[in-house]
Amino acid sequence: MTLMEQSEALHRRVRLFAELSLNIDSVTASGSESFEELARSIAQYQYEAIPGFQRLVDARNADIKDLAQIPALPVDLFRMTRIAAHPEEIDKTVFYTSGTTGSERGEHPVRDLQTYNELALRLGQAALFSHIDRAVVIALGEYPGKRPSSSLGHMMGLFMSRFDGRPILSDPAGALFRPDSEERWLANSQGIDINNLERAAKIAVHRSEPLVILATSFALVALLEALDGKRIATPSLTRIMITGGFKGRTKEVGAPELRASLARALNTEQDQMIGEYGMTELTSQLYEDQGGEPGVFFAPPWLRVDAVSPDSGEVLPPGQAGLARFIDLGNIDSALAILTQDQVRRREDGGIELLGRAPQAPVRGCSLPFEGLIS
Amino acid sequence: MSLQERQERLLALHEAVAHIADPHHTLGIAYRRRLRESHPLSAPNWETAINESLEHTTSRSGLLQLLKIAPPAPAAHVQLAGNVFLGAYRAIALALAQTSRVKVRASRRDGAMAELLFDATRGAFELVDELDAEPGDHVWAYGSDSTLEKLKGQLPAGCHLHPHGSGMGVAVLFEPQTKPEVDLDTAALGLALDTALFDQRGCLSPRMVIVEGSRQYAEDFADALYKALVQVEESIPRGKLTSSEQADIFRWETTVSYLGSSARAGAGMLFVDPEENRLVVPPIGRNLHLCVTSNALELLQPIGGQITSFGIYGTSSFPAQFEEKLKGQPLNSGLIDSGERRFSPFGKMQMPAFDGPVDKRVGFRSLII
Repeated sequence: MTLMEQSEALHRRVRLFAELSLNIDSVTASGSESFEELARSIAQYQYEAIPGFQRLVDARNADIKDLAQIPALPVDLFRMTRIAAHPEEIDKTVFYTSGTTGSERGEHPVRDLQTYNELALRLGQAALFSHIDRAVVIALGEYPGKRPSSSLGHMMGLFMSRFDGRPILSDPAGALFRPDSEERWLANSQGIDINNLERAAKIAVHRSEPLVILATSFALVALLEALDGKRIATPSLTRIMITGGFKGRTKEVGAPELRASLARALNTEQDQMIGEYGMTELTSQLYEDQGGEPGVFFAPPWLRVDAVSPDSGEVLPPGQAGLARFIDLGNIDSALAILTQDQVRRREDGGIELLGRAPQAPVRGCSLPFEGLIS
Repeated sequence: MSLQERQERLLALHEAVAHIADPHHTLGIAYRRRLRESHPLSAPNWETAINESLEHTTSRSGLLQLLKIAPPAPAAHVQLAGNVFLGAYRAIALALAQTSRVKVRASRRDGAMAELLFDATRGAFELVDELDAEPGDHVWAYGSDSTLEKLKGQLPAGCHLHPHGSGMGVAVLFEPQTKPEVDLDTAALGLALDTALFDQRGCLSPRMVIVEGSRQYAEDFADALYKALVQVEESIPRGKLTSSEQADIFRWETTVSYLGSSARAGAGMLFVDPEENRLVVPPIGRNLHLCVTSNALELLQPIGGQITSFGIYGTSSFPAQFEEKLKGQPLNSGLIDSGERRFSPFGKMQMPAFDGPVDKRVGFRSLII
């Protein structure tokens, strides 16, 4: 089998795994693959297809049949080199990191968007749109264009198309509101577009449908500032997906305060606020349980999250804090295992507590701290 | 505060540090005992550092020259960080060159040098627990950039802050057009020593090696440098690393193993980057990142503010050009724009002349609060 054929086969297998794993309680039905089997296959494919990964495996003398030994790539690498099994000419798209720290942006090339889209939609359906047939979906983000360079922008657009997807020929304000309309993206350099937020809310009320707002924490803070105490009339079911932290921006707001303020401003309940965690370097996402404990995220069956020791990469037992290591079956053509600088704690119930960036310890010496790539 | 008084205190300090450098003197024995108890560097490392980097062999005239060039001050305060190690002597000497009213806040983590100098000079300066600077006083602060920023906010208006924060050394080789002036093995051994001293924890320690020339020349030098690092490791082993330092190394080793072939060189790693013009600051612990370029000046210009010193091998007008282009760049701390840099041959990067502060980017300049 050629490498391309291997890749395509793996994409099909992962999509099937995702479909089956969300339809049954555990993937033990006869004929269905396990997470471990798929991970091993992807690791083997990446070993054959990606010279860098092969070098790393060989340097570590790692046995990639043992998932704990599969080397996890530090996310820095996505800023330093191309992480892909396929040549640039057949990229379907490339997602870029936001570059908020001021250094080079990371790139995650994607060859097959079908897998990306299916995984995001299946999980999004389960996490955000449970018991919802249709909703009016808007984003507190800048319009990303027809080909979003951010994975978050892409995902938000997917949700708009799938879970709303209807143009309105007329609405209470008398104008179009297509799912690919820029008017659904309610943030720009000037701030939050309160008028169109109110309009979306009216449409949802008019249709007797829920309103689903997709937003970053930072955009939600900007919304509250723009509202300045004003409240918006929203439908009885208004749900908010909250993603991202503040990543070096000047204003930070604690999560409980943010949620309480949003509940007041948008006439909704805090249990309708669902946190989402994703990264450019991953295909998959995590979500909080609706109505569950804020700050505790759950991974889908195709994503494994462990806390690992920073100085060895060794997986730590539940309850211990460590750096987040992801094994993402969706990253077929890039990097199966990723190591971040985010600290997490894995709970016995499988929940992942996000503890923030690993603090940089004071340098013993007047030498510059380790920086990795510098622009 | 007469010149005579300042001179006497400075000479007393110098005499004390000479005793500390002497392994047979009671002060030298006491110092080494304290280093053995708690310092992360290996004993051969700090012993070599004492012999090679401590300024105890400075001539009397060289020392007294400081009295002429240090800006006078009504009082000087020195805040030392735990990382300054041997540098406590120079820091206190500079303050004494300004005034005889000197107060020193030693590091709680590594105050041995300051404490022994205080005892030995019978009060040439005061040891204090907290700074109490007044308007017009000079404050010499050594520490992380965040510490300096915080201190700036705490000092009264009218103080002169001399902020000495983080920095690094960069080794630059220029491929000769004719036969080499010094053989590569000798150059490599010099650079290996520069790297090993202080386990790269100093602001003069080389972290990157830039080769302006052909890849073949870079590979030839890398071969020599691998051998030299291994050789130096045998006589000067790497010391203890903190868990955070180990974590940085793990992350870096994973990264470079992916990027290209890397090789362990003693306890650390030398990575010859297959991609040109890529600048990477590796973690401390004897790790070096070698980058090939066709124009070192252009490559390093954007990060000039972060570079304290250069080791230079090969003839070049680089030093003069660099100074011309990069003076005035802001430093990491952002508190002051950079002045000059130190330029040394390989093997001498950790032996700066006793001509003022180690970090000439700041030099004697200060920020008036």
